[in-house]
Amino acid sequence: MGSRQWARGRRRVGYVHQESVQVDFPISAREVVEIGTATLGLSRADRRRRIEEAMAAVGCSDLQGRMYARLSGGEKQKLSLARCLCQDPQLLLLDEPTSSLDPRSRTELMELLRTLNEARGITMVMVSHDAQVLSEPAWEIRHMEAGAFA
Amino acid sequence: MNVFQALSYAPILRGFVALVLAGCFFPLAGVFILRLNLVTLRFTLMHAALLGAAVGLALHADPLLVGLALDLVAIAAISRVARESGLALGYVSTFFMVLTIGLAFAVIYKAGVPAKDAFGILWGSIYSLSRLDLALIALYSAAIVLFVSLGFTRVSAVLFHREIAWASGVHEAALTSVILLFVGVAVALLMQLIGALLMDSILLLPAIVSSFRARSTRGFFIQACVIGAFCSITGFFTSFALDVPASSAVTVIAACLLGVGLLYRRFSGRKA
Repeated sequence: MGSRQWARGRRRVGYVHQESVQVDFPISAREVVEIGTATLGLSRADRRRRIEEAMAAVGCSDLQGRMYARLSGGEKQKLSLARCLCQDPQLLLLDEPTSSLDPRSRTELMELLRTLNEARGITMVMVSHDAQVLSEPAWEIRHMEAGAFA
Repeated sequence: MNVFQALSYAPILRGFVALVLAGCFFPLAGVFILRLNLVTLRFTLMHAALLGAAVGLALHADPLLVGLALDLVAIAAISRVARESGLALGYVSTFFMVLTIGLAFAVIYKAGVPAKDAFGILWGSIYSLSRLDLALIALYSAAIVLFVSLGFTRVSAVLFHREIAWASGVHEAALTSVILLFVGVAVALLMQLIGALLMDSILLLPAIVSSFRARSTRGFFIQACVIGAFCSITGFFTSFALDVPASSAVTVIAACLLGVGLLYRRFSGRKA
């Protein structure tokens, strides 16, 4: 697969990082979500609309002007989801998204994922060691050992 | 002779215009250095430019252009070696830093280049700029402004997190190479303008002060430019008022602003 095809394919796959990204430089919550529109070639108005819709979908509209570094872990993970939603993904890869969250934020995030799955039909692949997360009935579970599915 | 009469002389006017352009736009490269932790790379480029100056003087060529060329070669080599080997940019930069300074001294000795001429690049002089130097500074200023403004979202993605930038479809490796290129050219041009020893006053200090106050990446870039412009313009006029070199006046003003910024940070409780 060529690099252009790779880049095009990556646009339809959302990726939520394991832990909320630690940054020590000024970047606003809105700018983090805006990263999801980086390669979509949208007009300024369309980009603004898509960012606002994505932030509303994860319940983070009130965070727009806030500094990313000052947000809680749960808020940062919601922004990661909003960033992915800007890409209008067909597939969402979640790398232990709840590992750094407190129980309440974890429950909120899992409810949000279920809502997005039902409302948008996005396929989600999640890696997790969290027994509580894995007990959710909506997930089809595959065990992986030594790099292969058991 | 007052400052306005002095500005009627072409070398002084060229120096003033170059200083204002550098103050306004070179802090954009300072933001890159600060965010991507390229301080070691900056030192490497200073040494490569010194090697270029020595080679240029030995070959009777323009030291700035040869220094610029060697900086570009160093950038290409460092980014390639770091990418291929998987080593951190800091280690690779350190290797090239030691190599280039060693070669610079060897060239100075073997070619009989007067050391004071080669090391003249450490001091710089805003009043000795040629029209070509000024044209290069203007061209660079236009290029970096266009790069940051037109590619803002991609650039901020790389500055935020390279893995996430890649996952969002951004060609982060290519973009990082372009960012390194902008840093390399900025270092080479500033060595000619105000010298290696004082370049931080235009390149880094405005970006550092900006990071204390800004709440967004757009604000970070814009405030760094405004602070850089303030330092360069007030530094130029202060140098005439107090009869001190322009580069040192710019540096002292930038250092004072940094001090104020540190106090602001201390008393506002701002951590990031």
